Amino acid sequence: MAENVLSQIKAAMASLQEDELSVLVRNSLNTGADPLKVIDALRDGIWEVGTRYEKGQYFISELIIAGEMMKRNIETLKPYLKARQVSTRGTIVLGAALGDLHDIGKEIVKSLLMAEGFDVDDLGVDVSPSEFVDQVQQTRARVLGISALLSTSTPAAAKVVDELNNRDVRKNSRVILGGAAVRDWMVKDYGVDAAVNDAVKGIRLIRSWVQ
Amino acid sequence: MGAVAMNSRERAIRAIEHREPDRVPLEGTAWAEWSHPFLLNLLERLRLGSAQGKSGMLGSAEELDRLAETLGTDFRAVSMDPPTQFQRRAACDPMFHQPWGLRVSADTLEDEWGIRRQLNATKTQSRIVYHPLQGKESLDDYSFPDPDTEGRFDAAEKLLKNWRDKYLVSSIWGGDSFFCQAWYLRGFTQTILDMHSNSNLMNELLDNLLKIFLKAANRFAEMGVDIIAIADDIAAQTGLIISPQLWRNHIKPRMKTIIDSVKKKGVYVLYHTDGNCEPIIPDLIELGVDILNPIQPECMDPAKIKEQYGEKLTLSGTISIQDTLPRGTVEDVRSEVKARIRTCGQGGGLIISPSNQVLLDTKVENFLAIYDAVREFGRYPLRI
Repeated sequence: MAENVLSQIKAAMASLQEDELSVLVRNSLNTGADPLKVIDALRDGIWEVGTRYEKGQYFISELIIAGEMMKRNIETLKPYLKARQVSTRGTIVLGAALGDLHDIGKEIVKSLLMAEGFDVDDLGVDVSPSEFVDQVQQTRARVLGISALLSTSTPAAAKVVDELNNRDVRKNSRVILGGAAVRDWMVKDYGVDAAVNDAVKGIRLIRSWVQ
Repeated sequence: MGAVAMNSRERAIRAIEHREPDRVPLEGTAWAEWSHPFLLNLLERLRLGSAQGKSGMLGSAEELDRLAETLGTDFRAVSMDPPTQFQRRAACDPMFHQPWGLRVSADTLEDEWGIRRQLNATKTQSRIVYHPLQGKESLDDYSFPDPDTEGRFDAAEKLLKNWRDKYLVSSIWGGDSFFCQAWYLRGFTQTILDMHSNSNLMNELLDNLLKIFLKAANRFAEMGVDIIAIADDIAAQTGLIISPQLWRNHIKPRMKTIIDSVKKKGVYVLYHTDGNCEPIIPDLIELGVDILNPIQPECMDPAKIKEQYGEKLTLSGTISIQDTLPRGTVEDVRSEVKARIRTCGQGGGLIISPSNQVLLDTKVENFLAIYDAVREFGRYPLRI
């Protein structure tokens, strides 16, 4: 029975049935389901949303809707989780590169990372290399995500990597550069670990790094 | 023997009607988006002085006319301005996405919709920092701008009179269209959630936008403008931001109302969105869109768009602003222009310009190479 409810939760998330999902989550808790398993089912549903996005069945709007559904249902689950320690997958520092004020892509990535169980330290937009590195040092983040929509702001990633090297902390964190003007050659030229222009591709990579 | 030389207006009309003109028309100063810092570099290089006014985004101003003349662009644009009363109180700073606004602080302007934008530290871009309808549960306390107020079309009427015999003149209603304007007012995530839940507030908001845009578009069409431009960034690099379903439910029917109305008055319709909008191109054609802009080649293959939709749609833009212009050489730009003319220019239906904002990392030589290359290789009948 419990397994059946969990698969219904996954399916409702994957098909973005907002009202149905809320009812299923509340009912599952009332019938004694393990809230941690409910979270896993929700994450499985989000994973399916990402797969449908990659297949071209879903679009950015669906990623946003799924992220918001996750947030709302986690709120429902919170009172049931008080006594339980929810393990996080680690901290990710995120921000838009110096000179870039665009934050839509960053917000989508942030929402998906949180849905995946990461703690996200969002530094906002127009973030200087030293601000990025200060935060990586302070939080011991395993991944640093730099967002850059414009061709003029992508070179700032190289400066962030230089600063990580200068402070001798490059080896502790992976660096991913994401955004519309990001290209494969930037991995080599800027010294980042990955360069993607698709949010879901970035999430998949981050997940593979910190498993 | 080459085609008989035409003026800009004849050339542009023939291209949009899918008949070969004397050469591929050039754009870049009408509906093209401007990065003001690059524009200042360009004007200095061409010794054309500095742009003082509302050049901003999407919509050329009078002082840019000399630049348009120098580049040899075939189109001009007029826009709906804020009313005279607002202009008297407002500042006009072209570094902002929406240049007219009341000064809230040294780096922040509030436009006539109540949307606040702030400049970054280097004063090269602005971003929205206040959405007036964010968190609201009704629109009861909000006053939408009224297109009928005094002074909105004064500049447009004057400019149109000067330009109409010689150029093809497009118009924009002073900002972005349904999706963008809705999220500027309401916030990005909330707008998508509202559309997904089909909320009454979102429908009411979009209906109010429709009233404003329809009035402005009809006014322009009656004034004698040739092209109504609908600019709405609904796509990102690899695909649509809002799903085709959300777009078809909320935006397409409202666009249809506008397009049906202005088409009766004999104008062309241009649709602008950044990014890859391929899934809705058949819908745009069904609605009666004549010109699609900017067709960023990193997002959609212009040759494929020409092959699939070129009989019904004119391609506008198409030259890479993410790769070739900032990182290529003059020769790379010339090669790209030649390739575009070869693959997309047959039978007309092609207008060339940069495919979005040209930023400060583009060398002025590369930008100018587009215009030289079109004049050199873009003559009909094509021999390329």
